[in-house]
Amino acid sequence: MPTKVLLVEDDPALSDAVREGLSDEHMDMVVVSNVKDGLEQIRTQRPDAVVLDLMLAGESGFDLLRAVRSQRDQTPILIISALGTTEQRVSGLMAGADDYLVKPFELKELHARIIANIRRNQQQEGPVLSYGPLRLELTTRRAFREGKELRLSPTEISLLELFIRHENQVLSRKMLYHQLWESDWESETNVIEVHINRLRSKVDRGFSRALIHTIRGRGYMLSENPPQGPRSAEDAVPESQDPIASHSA
Amino acid sequence: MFAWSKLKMTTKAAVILVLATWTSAALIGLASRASFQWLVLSQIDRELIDVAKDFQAVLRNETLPFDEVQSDRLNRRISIHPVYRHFLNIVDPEGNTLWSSITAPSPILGVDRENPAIQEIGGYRTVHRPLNIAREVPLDAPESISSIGSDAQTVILQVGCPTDLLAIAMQELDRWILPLVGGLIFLVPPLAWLVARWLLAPLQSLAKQTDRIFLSEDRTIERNGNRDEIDRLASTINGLLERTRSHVRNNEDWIANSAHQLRGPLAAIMSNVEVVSNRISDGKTGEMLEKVVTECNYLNKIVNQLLLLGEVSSENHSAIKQPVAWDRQVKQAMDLFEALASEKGIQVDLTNCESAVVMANPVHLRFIVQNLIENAIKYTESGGRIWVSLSSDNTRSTCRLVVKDTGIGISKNDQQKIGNRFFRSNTGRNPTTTPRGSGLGLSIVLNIVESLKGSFELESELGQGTQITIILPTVSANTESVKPIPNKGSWVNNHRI
Repeated sequence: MPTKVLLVEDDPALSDAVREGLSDEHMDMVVVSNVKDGLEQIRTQRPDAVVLDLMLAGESGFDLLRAVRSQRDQTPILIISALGTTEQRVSGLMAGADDYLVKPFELKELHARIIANIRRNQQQEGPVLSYGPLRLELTTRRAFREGKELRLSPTEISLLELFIRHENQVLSRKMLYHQLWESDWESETNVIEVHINRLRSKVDRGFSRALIHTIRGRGYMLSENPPQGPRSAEDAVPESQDPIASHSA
Repeated sequence: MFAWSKLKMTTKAAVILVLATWTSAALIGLASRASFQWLVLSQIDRELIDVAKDFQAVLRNETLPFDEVQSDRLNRRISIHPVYRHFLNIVDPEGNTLWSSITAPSPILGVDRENPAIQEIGGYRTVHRPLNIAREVPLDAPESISSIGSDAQTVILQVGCPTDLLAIAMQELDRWILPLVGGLIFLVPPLAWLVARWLLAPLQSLAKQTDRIFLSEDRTIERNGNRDEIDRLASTINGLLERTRSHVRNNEDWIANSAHQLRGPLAAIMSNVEVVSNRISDGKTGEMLEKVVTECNYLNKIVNQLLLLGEVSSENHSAIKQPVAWDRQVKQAMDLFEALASEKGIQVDLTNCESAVVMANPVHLRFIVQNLIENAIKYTESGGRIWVSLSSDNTRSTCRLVVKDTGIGISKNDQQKIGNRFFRSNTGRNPTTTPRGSGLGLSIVLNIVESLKGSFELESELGQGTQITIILPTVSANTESVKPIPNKGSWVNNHRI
């Protein structure tokens, strides 16, 4: 059963793209452009998650947020907003939102966050994350593949954690960077490629099957079944003379 | 070349004070010397006249020539004021000396007997007075002289004293005046310097206060309330501050608003492109779409940095600050960027990392660390080295982040422009050797450091490397007071080379 997502956004140029993009990811999209319709949809359709723009024509997304939370409705709500200062994010999360994404965002990040929020809403996670042959102990920060410990740096552990939490999803460089450095200012350098290469050499080297895949032009994915066809996986990142120059080239 | 106009105000004031004091001291000295001389002289003259009157009275009933007893008595009388060393001559109208006191100079002075005024003759002050006196004519005297045996005759009384008395008195005076003058010559300059400094001290403190005022806060210059020139200057500076702040605020608001206006359309463009590029990925079209994404990302980055710049510049000190363990961020950054550097063949060392808690927006501190380390990696060639250190000074409640590299360096000319928005040095702009930056990074760093009342220092030598030092106030776990760090020079020009 596809995930049902309600989008409350008054800019058709953006809402059309989000609807198309998330529909491509097999999500069932409903789009409204005001608070009243949004509340109506939440009441009648029970979406799995709500994506909410804060600055709607003549009204504020906060009204919807407060109305939903006042009814003890814990449906995951993700805010998308052009307002991006720390204060604005904090006030959004304090008002009851589960996540806050600053415009412009990548659809794959929005997709990944919707999934993560729904999952978090449904289950309490244990101290160990696992995917296929991979196991990550969150308390001791140790990782294993097929029972064999992988000697990973804190940075690599952090990356692997994000990958396991978002198994089979494409993660953009921006998302990975945010995981490592807790800031939105994407690096001008290819620091992410460097760490992914190191992580991959430790996770996949010596094993018959690669788990970390490069999805050209989109990002990286942890998967036992890499996608085929046009989004072909390139398990080796092309070597470059200057790792920094290659990023913007 | 000596240029008066280039001297410091304090020096000028001191020099003027010294010259004025010297001149007035010299004038007062000369005037008092002249009046002292006049006083002494008139005293001498008054005494002369008194003595002459006295002898006129005393000799009225005497008869010439005097016997020894009389001479003795007269000699004693004339010496009554030993300081003046008076003398007495009695001369007849023909000019013959009839009697001289033993104090009289020899030879006897020529006498202008007709002139009753006081005269100065050959180093002596003299006065002449007529005297009718009885005179016994000696038997062997010529006929012409003796008219009658014992007869009254008019003779001339000459009373005088040596003028070297004046010279002695003046010497006595000079013994006092000269040390006084010497003392003034040596004492006045340092005194004048102190006075000038004291006078100009309010100006100095005003300058210091102004140096410590940041545009990002609301503080103004404290006025002394005396309605004097300093108070007026303070009020003028406050007015200027007010106008500048309002101008900057408008500017930053404008930047923030326009960035928000840009984010909406940018979000729509990027989302649409993403959908399309996921659906179409055939060779050429896919490549072109990737370029659109790259350019959008770049545009988004500039918008984000403009927003951050606006946020940092307009943020007042109370906004969203929390204690941040900066050392943890630095360690995290080392972990993150060390891999990148070693990939490029650069060795990065964290030489020191002491615990440092800074009251700030954590995102801002991250930006500083990221910007400095990334820049160091970006502008250092393979085989180069980078040193990072964070040290803590608990007594001064500051911490010091130093990022030093052996990179391409920044020319002296470019160092001046380093804080300018969108400025990138020629080496930094070369797209084939370095990735595209926004040119806003260091400008944001400077603004963050300013908003945290810290200081920024850049040292760089073209081809040798760059060292950036940032000092920020720290807080201990239980205090929240933040002392501003005095800057060397004003904010704009504090990129000390």
